[in-house]
Amino acid sequence: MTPVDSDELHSPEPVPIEEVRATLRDCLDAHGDFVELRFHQKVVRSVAFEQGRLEAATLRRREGTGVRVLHGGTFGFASCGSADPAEVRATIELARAAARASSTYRREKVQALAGRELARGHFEGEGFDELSGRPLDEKIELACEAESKARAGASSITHASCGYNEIYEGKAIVTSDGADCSLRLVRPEFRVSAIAERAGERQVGFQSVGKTGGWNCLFRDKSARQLGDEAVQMAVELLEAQRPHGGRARVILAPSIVGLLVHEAIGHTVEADFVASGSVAAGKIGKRVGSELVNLYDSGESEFLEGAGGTLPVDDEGVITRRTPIIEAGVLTSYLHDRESAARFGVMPTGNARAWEYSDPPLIRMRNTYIAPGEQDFEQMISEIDDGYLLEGPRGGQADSTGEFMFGVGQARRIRGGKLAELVRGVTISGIAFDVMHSVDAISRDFHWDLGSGYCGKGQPAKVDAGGPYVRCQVMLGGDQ
Amino acid sequence: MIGPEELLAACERAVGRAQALGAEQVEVFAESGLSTEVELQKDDIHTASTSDETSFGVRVLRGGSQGFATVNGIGNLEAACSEALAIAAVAPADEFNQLPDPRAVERFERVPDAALRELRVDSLVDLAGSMLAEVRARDPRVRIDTGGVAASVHSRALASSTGIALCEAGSEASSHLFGMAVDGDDVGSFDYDSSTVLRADALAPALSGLTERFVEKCLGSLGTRSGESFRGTLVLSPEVVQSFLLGDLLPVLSAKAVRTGRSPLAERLGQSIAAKALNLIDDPRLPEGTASGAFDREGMPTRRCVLVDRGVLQTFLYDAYEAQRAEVEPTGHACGGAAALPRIGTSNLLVSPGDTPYEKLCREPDRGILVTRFSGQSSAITGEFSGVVKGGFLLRQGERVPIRETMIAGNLYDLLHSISGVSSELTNLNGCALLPAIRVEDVSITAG
Repeated sequence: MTPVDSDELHSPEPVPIEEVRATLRDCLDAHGDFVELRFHQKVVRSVAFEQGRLEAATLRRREGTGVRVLHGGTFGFASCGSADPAEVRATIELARAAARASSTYRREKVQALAGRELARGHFEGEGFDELSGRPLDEKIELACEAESKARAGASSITHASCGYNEIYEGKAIVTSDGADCSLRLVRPEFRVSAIAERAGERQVGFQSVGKTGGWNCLFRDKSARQLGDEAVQMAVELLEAQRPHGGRARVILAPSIVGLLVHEAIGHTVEADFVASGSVAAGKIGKRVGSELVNLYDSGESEFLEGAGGTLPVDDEGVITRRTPIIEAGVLTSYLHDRESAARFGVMPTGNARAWEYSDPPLIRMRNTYIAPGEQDFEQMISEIDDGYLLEGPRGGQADSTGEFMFGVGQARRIRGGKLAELVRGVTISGIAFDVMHSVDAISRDFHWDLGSGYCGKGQPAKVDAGGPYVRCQVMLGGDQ
Repeated sequence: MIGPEELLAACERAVGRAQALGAEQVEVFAESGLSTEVELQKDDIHTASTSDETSFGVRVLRGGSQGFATVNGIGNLEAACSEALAIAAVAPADEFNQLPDPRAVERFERVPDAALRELRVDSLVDLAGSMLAEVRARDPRVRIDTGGVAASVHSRALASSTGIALCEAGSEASSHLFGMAVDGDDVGSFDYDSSTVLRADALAPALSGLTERFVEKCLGSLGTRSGESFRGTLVLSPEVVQSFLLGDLLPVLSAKAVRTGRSPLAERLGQSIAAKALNLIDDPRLPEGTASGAFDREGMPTRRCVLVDRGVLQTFLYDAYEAQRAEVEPTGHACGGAAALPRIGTSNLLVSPGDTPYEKLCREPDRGILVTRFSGQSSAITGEFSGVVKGGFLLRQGERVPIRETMIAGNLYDLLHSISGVSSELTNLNGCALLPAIRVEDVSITAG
């Protein structure tokens, strides 16, 4: 066997993103049409332990240039797997040909693209070099230890797993109308799950965290050990829990559930492409859609606390992201836009155009979506409920064009006579989003980002985050009959 | 796009390179594809696009430690070998980490459709335009939020240091529609349908069938009213059988789920796990199956496999690692592409038809719910499920009333035993599933 030459085993350096930007700029030339070039390198390192075995230690590197050309009032898109100038120029022609082919059929032509605030320069996210410089064996050790501690966390635990991912992104975006920027950011994620079993019955406990930032940011609020302990505790407690009785209920939503609610049930209905297709938010700008306590935003920045998982300085059209007010004092104030929809609606783009990887065209997507903190005390909010539930721990969900939503809740704790009581399980909540917003009668002073390890799906995945304070409202609870 | 033989040659070169760097065993899997797509948005043509990509997945073993790296672009392949080795250098060892020896792979002749390979973006735009017009003509109340028509040709290859050298090519065309019906203030819920075919001449009829089904589904959710709360019968549409019933069951049939203790069915081999009416088969050699192929992700031969026979569990699903640990032959169920390590999964799924016509299946219960879409949470580990019936209907004495905000909850494993009917008709779902509607009993149903 040939000995390993350690010099040959070093991973290549990330692509020099500012040099790539200069190369792309040279490819723009004078084309007449609007041309957008976006080089995107994504490197994902993953470690997964399950039942004491390293199931996966992998590295995924995918890079290339996505090209959009606006020709004859229609976009054409093509992609190639590099930033090589000859390939990029050939891909521009493919995108132009695709636009030409579809322009004859497209009824509603793109008349203009909105945007006066196109990004220029380089944007460097926190933690990129710090995380990439941390040795791989340390990350493997962390996941190994967290899994084995969770497995030994209680006598009823029969299974544990732990996963750690870090997603490095480097992008360069240039457009023929002036965007000229590059960025680098990193998003680490950590998750632990445990299964408790007793007399043939099983329950799953799960905790996860995802941030935009480095190692310290990832474990700023809770250590890997704490997350593992909480997963174990959840699985064990759920073994004792009963199913709730179904029906309408007064509840307090924890920040994680608030995040899921505002993302799934409100955020999607105000994405301008859904609005144009007739979502329930269409025609409601300026109208009351919730209690006047409700202030709801989507932001590319990490408001209140650093490291929100959907943080993004510039979107994939080269638009600087800002905080977008969606609902203020209960009144719908804005939709979420890309440059095309903003022009059609006669507003400025909100920086919500996002593409998952280089071969994906940008779509309107959320970033960090949240309800702003209120003025109530959390304990006081509980004490005012005679019969209800405190709902924590999202377990996935979906929303509809009607604003009808459904999602699972990991831990639902009964509130009886103003006090927290027993845990119930298998809880699903549903409702009509704006009806739930109207039913909000208290919002706490707290704030947490709590959806950063999740992904939003809309044809393409997207890293997003969501959160808020504790919110008291009414929802439908799924349970036994 | 790189053709299958050339792709295999690149894989073989990379195997040699990784060995030269110090790998004891190497497996290189590659995929290359050229695809063209026309996307619909808001009842209009939106974007036409093309992509051409080649990806490689390199798995190396050294001293029992495994490393995996994946890249796109043949120019990055050597870097992937180094990166996989760098991972193996720090990964803990596992004595069962070994690549499989070659097995005889029976030919599965499928020549990519020449007409599909020649289908240009202009022709796809024409087809997408006719799909839009057809939806409008069927019912102007139906709105397409997003949709698309796509065609692709692709090849895949696998080479390993144990002597596996395999490649094959394929082609397919797919289409999908996502949207809802709007009638004044009555906004129906989102609905979705899709179709996948293997030949260009099958595309136009497939699009016509797709528009018909999509319009019918969207209109079905208009004029909904509140349902009723009771314990009782559900009729699951073939789509719900696929996404919900089988979607939960199949992961716990994997040998990995058995080994790690996640599968509640670990001790149930040869025992009844469902009513006798359930027969479940995985057939990766279905001539018209869109998930068919001669070899799996690790180069093991594929074969037809009965998973459940008259309700009795017949086998678990094995890749090479799990087979080695369990001391059995791999069943050819290593799945996935070049961008990740192989995982265990199935190909074309078949559930045998029953003897009850679909209409009778829906008409027989005094009261029940027809579920055409389920949106909720379910866990195969615990069996618990809870969620909302979308586009559902209340079945009452032969009548079918569209309902909204109706939640169902129960246990998957109880559901399998409660099967009271299987439709005699089968529905082809994207060429990779032939499934009936299935009726189940004693489910908790909560109306809004």
